[in-house]
Amino acid sequence: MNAATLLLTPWRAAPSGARWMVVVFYLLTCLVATAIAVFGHTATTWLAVSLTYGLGLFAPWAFLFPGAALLAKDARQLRIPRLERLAILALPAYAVAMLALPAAVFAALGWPLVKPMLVWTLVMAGAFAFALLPRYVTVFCGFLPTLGNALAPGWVRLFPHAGSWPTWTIALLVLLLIMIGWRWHGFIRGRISEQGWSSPMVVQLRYGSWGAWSQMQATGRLSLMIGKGGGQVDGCGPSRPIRSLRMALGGWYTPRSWLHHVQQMGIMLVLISVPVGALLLAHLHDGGASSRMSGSALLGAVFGFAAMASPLVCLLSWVWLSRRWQRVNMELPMLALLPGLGSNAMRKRNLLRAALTRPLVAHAACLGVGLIGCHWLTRVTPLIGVQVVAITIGALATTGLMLDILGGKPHSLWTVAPLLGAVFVLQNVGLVVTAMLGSNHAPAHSTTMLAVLMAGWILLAGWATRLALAGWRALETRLQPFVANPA
Amino acid sequence: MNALLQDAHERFDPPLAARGLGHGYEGATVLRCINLDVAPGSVLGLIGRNGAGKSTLLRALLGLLEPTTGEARVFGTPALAMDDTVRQRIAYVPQQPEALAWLTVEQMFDYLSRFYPSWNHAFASDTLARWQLPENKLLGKLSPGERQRVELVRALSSEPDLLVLDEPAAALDPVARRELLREIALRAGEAGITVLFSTHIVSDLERVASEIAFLHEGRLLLHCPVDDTKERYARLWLPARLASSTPTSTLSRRSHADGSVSVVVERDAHGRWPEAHAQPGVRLDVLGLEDLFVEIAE
Repeated sequence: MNAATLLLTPWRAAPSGARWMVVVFYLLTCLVATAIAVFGHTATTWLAVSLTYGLGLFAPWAFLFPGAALLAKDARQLRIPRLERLAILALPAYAVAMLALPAAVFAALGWPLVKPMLVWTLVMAGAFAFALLPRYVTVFCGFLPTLGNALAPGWVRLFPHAGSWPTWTIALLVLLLIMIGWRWHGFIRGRISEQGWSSPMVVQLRYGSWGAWSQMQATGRLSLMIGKGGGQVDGCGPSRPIRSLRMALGGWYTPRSWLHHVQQMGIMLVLISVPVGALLLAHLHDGGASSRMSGSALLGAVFGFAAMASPLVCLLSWVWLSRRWQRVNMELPMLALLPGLGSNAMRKRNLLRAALTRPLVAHAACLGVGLIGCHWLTRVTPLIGVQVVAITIGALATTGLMLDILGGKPHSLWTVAPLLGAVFVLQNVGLVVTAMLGSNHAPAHSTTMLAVLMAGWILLAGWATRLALAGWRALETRLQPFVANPA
Repeated sequence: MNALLQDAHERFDPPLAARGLGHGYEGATVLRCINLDVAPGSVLGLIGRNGAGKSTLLRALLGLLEPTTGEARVFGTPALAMDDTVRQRIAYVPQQPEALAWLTVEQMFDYLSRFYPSWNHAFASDTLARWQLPENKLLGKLSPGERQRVELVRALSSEPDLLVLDEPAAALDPVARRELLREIALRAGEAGITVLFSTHIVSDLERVASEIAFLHEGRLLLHCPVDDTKERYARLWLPARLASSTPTSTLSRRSHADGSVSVVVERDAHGRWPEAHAQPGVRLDVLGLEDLFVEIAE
């Protein structure tokens, strides 16, 4: 065992997509931290540098190094103890290296050392724990900052002698290390399943939704889409071809029972109740002084949801449908040979309705959420306009991508990612620009920004329309619509 | 009169036919000008090595892909333009089926039975019970063998006239495989349904097939009744000095390091072997089906 083998072990255990993504992110944050160190001349420059570097540490410890857990598990099952030892030893080796190098720089510059190192260690441990904890826990990780803010005052009252922040940071660190040890031990010995909601997040590296980005639509795990309730077969049949096709398309197309919808709504409400409860706690704590801030946070959450959800609807629809159209042994042969769905022209028409209705309704729902958010703003007309345009273009992009799949001209992630990225960026820039236009102190150049935004939208709409037309023409020429597009 | 014409039409149109069928993926040719007629009531075993193009041929024959050349017909109708009356008569089981993984076995049967007027509910439930397949389990959670058996029951329950099976025994244990072969033989013998199945297990083919089609590197090398393959093909070994007198019409040819040549030959229309076999030093070994497969595919 030499140093090179040790350092290459977790690298080799991760998918190449995850490796490069993580390395690029880490190096970028290092560059930004260096730039701050070189050009920042304030008393708190060290703090900015340490926080930036801490941000960079999150990615490798959440998405790259946890692959060592999978390697250690496989090595144990294959009875290769040397490999298992390598996988374990590589982690402290990287931790020391990633702490020692910036610590040396901080020491050379005469900056404080203890607090940054504590923060970095905490980030590494937190990120690693994120990868090893059950999925049902990590769902709530996104709400931790809101919860932290909301609970901070109560925390001080509950634990008045908790001491200064390094004390509880160390306590938290110890807690995280215990959790990591417990989960690691259970996982590599096979006591923790790789299936279901109690599986650790790191299994995503094995099943391809982390790192194997280009194969995302091919390897997306079906288990996530299998509801215990299955589907509602009642009502399917030749007399209701669209409902029947939705059943065969699966995923979120599947017709479900009312009970299932109620269950889903309950889960959603539980998820939403966490941040809303946190805001409510904050509100109760300061007697309404922060109500404006809470209101702004809620408004931000509403618009943020609308801006995130629309590209996400597009992405998920594309992933699901392209996967179904990639495999030759799934529903396509069954649908192609299923009697009772009418002529090929009728099949195409009904398939289009079945495949597009649900995503388009979801886009409309995103618009509805955005419009509800507009209710609290004074000058809403520009915001409504922006929401309508952005979500219409999102819907157009969804339609284009799905028509291309159905027409046998599917696009790879390298086409879809820039398209969805552009939808996402323009939607968020649109929100910022209209918020600026709607404020009492609109900056002078906001109109120019709006013009640039409009130009971006026109280009994007042109791109999406071109995709949709190409897909439509291809579908028209297909003799029967249930022909697979093998990868 | 129309009914008579329709009846005659159906009687003379083979359940499956291919004319000049060709297909390829990403520049690689998978099927090369396949001409094939599957006779009504026959059990045709399509044999070939992994990657020979068997699954692609079955899918092209059923209109599940658009071939680059040629045409496939199902009961006389272009495979890509079948109507519901033709679809009702077909059942197909793909290799490693994965359809409708979010439904239970019972739900899938309920769903599909709504589309087939002649769905045999009694057969479905009896066979599921006999084959010990759990009706309330999600399809996505069945083992590959269970999944394949469920699909076979599904295919047979629709009472098809044409049954197309892609490697149906690949995931089955010996008991299940024997039950499947018995069911195929029974259906073909009693109900007269036409069966086309792909396999690379020669013993399955010998047990149940009435005809054999041998696909090799995208080409259909032979198509004949199984009985005709018995005592019909042989391996002819010619020493180096006679290598030049190798028969021109051979199914495969292999040259050895010492200059000798092995070829696979068949009897002519009069049942005679090629003349070369009578020369001194030449060796002729009659091939069984499995040896024939190995000789050609190797």
